[in-house]
Order: sequence, then structure tokens, then C-alpha cells
Amino acid sequence: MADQLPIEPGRARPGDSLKARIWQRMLTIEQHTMLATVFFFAIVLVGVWIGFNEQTRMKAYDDSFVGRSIQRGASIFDSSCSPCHGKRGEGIEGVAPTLNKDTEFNGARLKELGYPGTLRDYLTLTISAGRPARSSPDWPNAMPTWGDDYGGPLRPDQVSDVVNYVMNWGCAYDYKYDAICQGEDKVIASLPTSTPAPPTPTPKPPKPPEAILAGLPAGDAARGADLFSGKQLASDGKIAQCGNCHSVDGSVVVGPSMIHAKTDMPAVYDSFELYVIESIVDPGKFKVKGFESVNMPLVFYNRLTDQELADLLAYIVSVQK
Amino acid sequence: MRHNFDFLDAPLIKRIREKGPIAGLMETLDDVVYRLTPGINIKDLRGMLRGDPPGRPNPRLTPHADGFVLHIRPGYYNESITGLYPTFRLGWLSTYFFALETLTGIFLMVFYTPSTRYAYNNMLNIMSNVPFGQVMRDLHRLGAEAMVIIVALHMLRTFWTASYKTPRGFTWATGVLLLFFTLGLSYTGYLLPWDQLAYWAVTIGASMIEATPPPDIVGVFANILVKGAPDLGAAGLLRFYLLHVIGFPLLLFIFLMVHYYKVIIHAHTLPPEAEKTGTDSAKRIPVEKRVYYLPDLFALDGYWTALVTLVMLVAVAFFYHAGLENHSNPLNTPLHTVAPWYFLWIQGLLKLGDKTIMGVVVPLFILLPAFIFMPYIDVGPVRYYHRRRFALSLSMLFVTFITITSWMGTAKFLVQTSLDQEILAELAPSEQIGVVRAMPFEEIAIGVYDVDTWRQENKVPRSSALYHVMEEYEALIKHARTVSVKKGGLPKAQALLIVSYLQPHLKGVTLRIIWQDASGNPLTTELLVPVHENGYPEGGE
Repeated sequence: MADQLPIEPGRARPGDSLKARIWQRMLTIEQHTMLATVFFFAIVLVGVWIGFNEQTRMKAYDDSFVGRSIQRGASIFDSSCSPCHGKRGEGIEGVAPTLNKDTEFNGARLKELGYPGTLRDYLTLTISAGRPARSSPDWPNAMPTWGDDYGGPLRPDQVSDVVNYVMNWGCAYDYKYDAICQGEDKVIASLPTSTPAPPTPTPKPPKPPEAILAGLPAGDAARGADLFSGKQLASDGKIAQCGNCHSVDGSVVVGPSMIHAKTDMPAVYDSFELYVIESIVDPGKFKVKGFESVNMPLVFYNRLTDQELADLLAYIVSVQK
Repeated sequence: MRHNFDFLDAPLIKRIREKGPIAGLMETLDDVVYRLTPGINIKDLRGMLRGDPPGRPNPRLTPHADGFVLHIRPGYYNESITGLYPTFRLGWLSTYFFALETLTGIFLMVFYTPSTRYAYNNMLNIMSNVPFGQVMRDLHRLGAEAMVIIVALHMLRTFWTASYKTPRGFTWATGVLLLFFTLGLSYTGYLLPWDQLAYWAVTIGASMIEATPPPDIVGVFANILVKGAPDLGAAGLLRFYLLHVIGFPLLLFIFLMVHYYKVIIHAHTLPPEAEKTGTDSAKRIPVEKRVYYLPDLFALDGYWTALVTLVMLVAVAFFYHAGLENHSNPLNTPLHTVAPWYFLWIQGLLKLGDKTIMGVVVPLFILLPAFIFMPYIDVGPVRYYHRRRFALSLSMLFVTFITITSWMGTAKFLVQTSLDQEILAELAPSEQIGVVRAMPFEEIAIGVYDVDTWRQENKVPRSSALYHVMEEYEALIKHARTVSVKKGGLPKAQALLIVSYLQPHLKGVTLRIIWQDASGNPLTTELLVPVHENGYPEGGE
């Protein structure tokens, strides 16, 4: 069954069938060498072509990477930052400041703080290490640490994603820096109107807690529970945020848990209801032991209607153990 | 007086003094060529290039006897195996890819640090800041995948032509080990980019180690040994890296040389139909059937090297790019995580039974030894195809088995997630691009789109990518409504796609599905997909 092939071993001969040429024989050494030479020049050609395009390709990869970094930053911001800084970085009165206004990006804010480095460094440092010392009494909460170098949950590349996202707000202003903004023609003059304006609550006239308590309507504990947990928005259209800091199961989130509120009440109060209302209206007046360094925001009295205060009160009374 | 050293004694000078400048120079040059080749002088070299027949004794055999590089190749082949059939060049291609992987791997090593802190940034740097970095990475990745296929095909071919039969059983056994090392190399390399794909694909595979029987004693120990910790982390990455750049390549190289040497000892088998049963005529090649390595097969090797290199280069320049997902995140498992494709069959097997039996005992303690010792079990001398019907059917059965179990290993088989998560993962998967992120930025018009009313509102132009996304969203929701809650369906589901302005050059696409659980309580599943103008410049590449 062995094919009896002619001498001139292994090389294609005139008269070989195509099948024999492909299947059983070699091309001649000359053909191999010629083809190998052609392939070699083609390799060089493709290599040179790739080399010519490398700079453009690397730049495009960079741009695309920054774009995707901003996307990831937006997702992290949405889940981790927006509860305090607002969905659009517009800030929440009494909780955390605005991030998207022009003074952040034109150097005014850095100058005010006396920060000598770049905006990127400033943002990276603030997000990674947090802000343990409060910069003004308007913001009673400390900025937590986010970088895992400082005990936070985010890796350095995630911090950098959030920094890229925050810096991207700057592209709305006539202030340009690093690679985030995509060239002059795309810079727009001001934030579009679809970004909500920072909230401006109308201050209520100050009243003593006793008077407030006396004026409250009957409260509904179930609605209070929804307000507390954030399931139902407060009348100003935002989450009331009680549940962000206070638990109702005895655990400590930021502030003391609500179920011990009555046990924690100091002896100077004779009415638990009055203690609760006073703690909302004037949170700094008395602090529970162990929570001396925590400052509750001052804004809730202004933000909540009397009905909402009454509902919350009813709920807090109902969860006491 | 003569010194101990005299430059007049140098061969070149001596020859020039004795025979004149031209003849002296030529004779020295001849000498140099003879030493470098080694064993072929200029006259022979010229004859070789011109296609002259070799002299007797054939000087072109000397490099195989005296040289280091060629001593691992036979001096001549039987002409009946020099065509494409029966070898298909698969053995040679395996070696080619090993060489390609080594060269591109060394390039990539220069820019890589095996540390969880830096590995991923190194990848970004290779992609965006190292000239030819992407090409080298693509070649390395594509070469690795090709090498797995080629080595497996080489083994299949060897089985089909019965080339493993006496006396080549040991060659086959080393070949099985080489396949094992190839898979090991490919698998350990999978982890190194340290992106989500790498982390989770390898985590799935490495979880087999824990199941090594008995799991409570050996499994726990083996797991710590390989990963350096209960889970993959800094220690695991370093160990995988060392296995990838030293451990497996060294083993592979040693066994490759043994494999090659065995080929010299036993020579290549002839095609099964060219030999009488029970004879092994491969070693004694009649003079008229000899094809000498130099120059014929050397030219053939050069031809194939150039051809495959060109194909690979064209592939990575125009068609193939190795992906890079987000940074690995041990806390977030992407939906539909699967093992590398060449281990999908094990993942499929796992769906059939116990982790220890299906994941470890079957592949490592049954299949691997069965393959290694197969030549010593199948000792029948017959090599003709038509008289090996059982063996050939068995091999086809095995190929079918691997194909089916691989398919079972994919996420399409036995999906258990609820449909709201499936729909979101279909439209905007956490790691791949997906149709939502691939929409051109300008075509994502700000607004609220309800899957039930968007057609009536007529807001979306037919040509826009948003139209196609809404069509797909609508189809997915309509299907989910027909599935019962118990099976993960979403009866009475409402679904919205909300496009909002987030920032300059950044829009947010919110996918919101509101549905009811078994007791009629409304539940909401929502996903914000930020889309940046530059995120995917080529619509997803």
C-alpha cells in the first residue's frame, strides 16, 4: 500500500496531482525559500504598519481608559458618596458640601484651604484618608476614610476612578486640567439646567422644644418607620437619613441605636418625648456616653414638618426596649 | 628570539603569508563557516543553496552529529512523512508556539510585577504606554490558546495514526505530560492580568484543589500550598507567576527535549497504510527515500515559521485583541463566571456530581493516568485505520464527551439566577461591554422610556442604537412576564430605561424593573450604567 514515489525524494514533480502536492509531497526547496522570503517581508510590513499606528493607538487606549474610569467612578459615587454629597454632587445641607461648583475647580477652594498641591492630589488625599478634622461648623460629620491604605474599602485604582469622576464636573467650567476634559471645543460654559439647584430650605422660626412638642399633631408610628428608614421621602423630596446613622436593632452604625434611647436619657428630663424632640432640634445639647465625638446634623428641624416630627416621635417611642 | 606568543602564528596571518592574501582570507573564511555551521564548508553550503546533490559521505549530516542545535533533529526523514499528511506539522507547531510564548513572555515580563497592587496597573501600562505592548500581549494570549488546541490536536493525530504503539509508548507518555504542562502554563498565565476575568476564572478552577481527596487532610493542605492562603490573593498571585515563568516552562522544556530525543531514537512513524502490521520500518529508511534535514526540511521549517508568524501577526493586528476587564474584586462575583474554555469540560462535569469525584478524581486520577499508560494497555500491533474501528470510535466518543461537557460548563446550561438579574446582566454585564454601554454617546437621548409605551410615543428614531436596545429590553421583559415567579420570572413587570445627564461627556442609563414577588409585594431592581463619551471608542472594542 505504500506509495512508490520516484527518486528526487519528497519534492514536487511535474505531473504530480494537486492532491499529491498538498497532501503527500513537499514543495521544492526553491519554492519554500521563495515563499518564506515573501512571508518575511510581509511580516516586516505588518510590523511597520503596527509601529506607525502605535502612538495613536496608545493615546486612544488612554482616552478610552479615562472614560471607563469615569464610568466606574460614577457607579462608586452613586452607591457610596451620593447619600451624603447628593446624587449629582450638589451636596446636602447640613450633611456634606457641594462638589460640583466652580470654586472646586478654579483653584478658589484650594486657595481657601491653603492647599499647595494639585486638585487631583487634594481629591485623592481627601477621599483616601478622609477628613478627620471638620473644616467648618456647617458640616458636623467627619468625611470617612475610603482608601484601603487608611482602613477604608476602596483600592487605589477605585479612589482614582472616583477622583476622575469628581474632576469631570470641572469640564463644565472654563477651567482645564489634565487629561479628563477632551479639548477646548467640547468645554461647555456652565452646568446644564437638568442638574438640580442646591436646596435652599426656608428656616422655621426657632421655638423651645416644649412648645414644639405641645404643638405636634398625633403621630403615626408606621409612617415614622418609613421616614426613619428612608423608604418614604421627607416632604422636601429627600431621604430623612435617620436610618443612615441610627439603628433600631441595638447595633452601632454612627450614632447610638434608637432602642436604648430611653435608657440613655439623662436624669434631667422627665419626659422621654421631650428628650427625643430636643435631640432632633438641638442635637448637641446632650450627648450619649461613648458618642461625644459624633455630631448629629442640625438641619432636621428645618427639613421636617410638624406631622413628620410627630410620626418619627411615635416610631421612636414604639421601638423602645 | 621568538616570543611565546607571536601574532605571526595566528592562522589568518600564517595562511596569508603562505598562500597570498586572497587565498589565505578565503581559506580562513571557509574555516570559520565550517566551525559555525558546524561541519559544512563554503563549497557544501553553496551546493546546498543551489540544490546540488550532497557529496559522499554526506557532509550535511555533520551538524546533527557535531552541532548542539541540530543534534535534537533527525538527519533525514522518510519522504512519505514530509507532506502535510500524516503529521500535519502539529508537533512542530507545538514547539513553534512554545518558542513564541517564551519570546513574547520575556517581553511582557519586563513590564510586569507579580503583586496585587501593581499587576493590573502594569497591564494598563503595557496597553497604553509600551510601544508594541498590546501586540506582544495579544500574540502571547492568542499563542497560548492556539498552543492548547495544537498540542491537543497533535495528541489526537498521534492516536489516530496509532503512532503511540511499540516502541513509542514512552514518547506518548511524555507527550501527555507535555499537554498537561501546556494546560498548566495556560492556566497559571490566565491569572496574571489580575482583572475580574482572570480572578474568577482561576478561582473557579483553583477551588478544585480544595476537593483533592481526602479533602479534609490533603485538600486543605494542597490549597494552602498552591494559593498561599485560603483564597487567591497576593501569595497566590506570586505562586502562580512563579509556576508560569519558571515551574511549568522548565518542566515543559525538559520533557520536550526528552520527547524530541525519543523521535531521533525511534524516528517518525510512517503513515499507517505504508507499513506491514508488526513491522517498524521507520528507523531503516532506504537511501532513495531519504529527505535530508539540510537543506530540504530546514527550508520547510523556515517556510512554516514565516507563514505561522505572519498569520499570527495579521490576526493580532487586525482581528484579535486580548481583553482586559476591570480590576479583580474578590467581593464581587460577576454573573455567569466560567472557567477558561479548555477547562469548561471539568466545570460541566461538576454539574453531574460530587466535586471531589468529578473535579479531581476523574480528570487527575482517572483520565491522566489512563492517557499516560494507554500505550501499555493497548498493545495490539495493528495500525491500519480499518482494523482499529473500536479505538477510533472510542476517540470520537471522547471528543464528543469533551464537547458536550464543555457546553454543559457554559452559563447557558442550568441557569439559576432570577430573571431580573439575568436581564440586567444581558443588557449591561458587569464586566463585558454589553449593548447599553456600546451605544454611541450621541444616540442615547435623555428621557424616560417605558418598554410598554416607547413605541407609541415614537421618540426613538429607528436607526439609533437606543431603538435596538429598547427592542431587546422589551423582548426580554415580555419573555420574563410569561415565566412564573417560582422559576424566577417577573409577572406584571414594569420596566423603564431612564437616560439622565450626569456630567459633561457622561450620561447615566438607569434600568429599572418593578415586579411583584409571590405574595404580591412590589420589588424594584435597578442598575445605573454610566456611559462616557470615550468609554468605548470603537463601539465595544
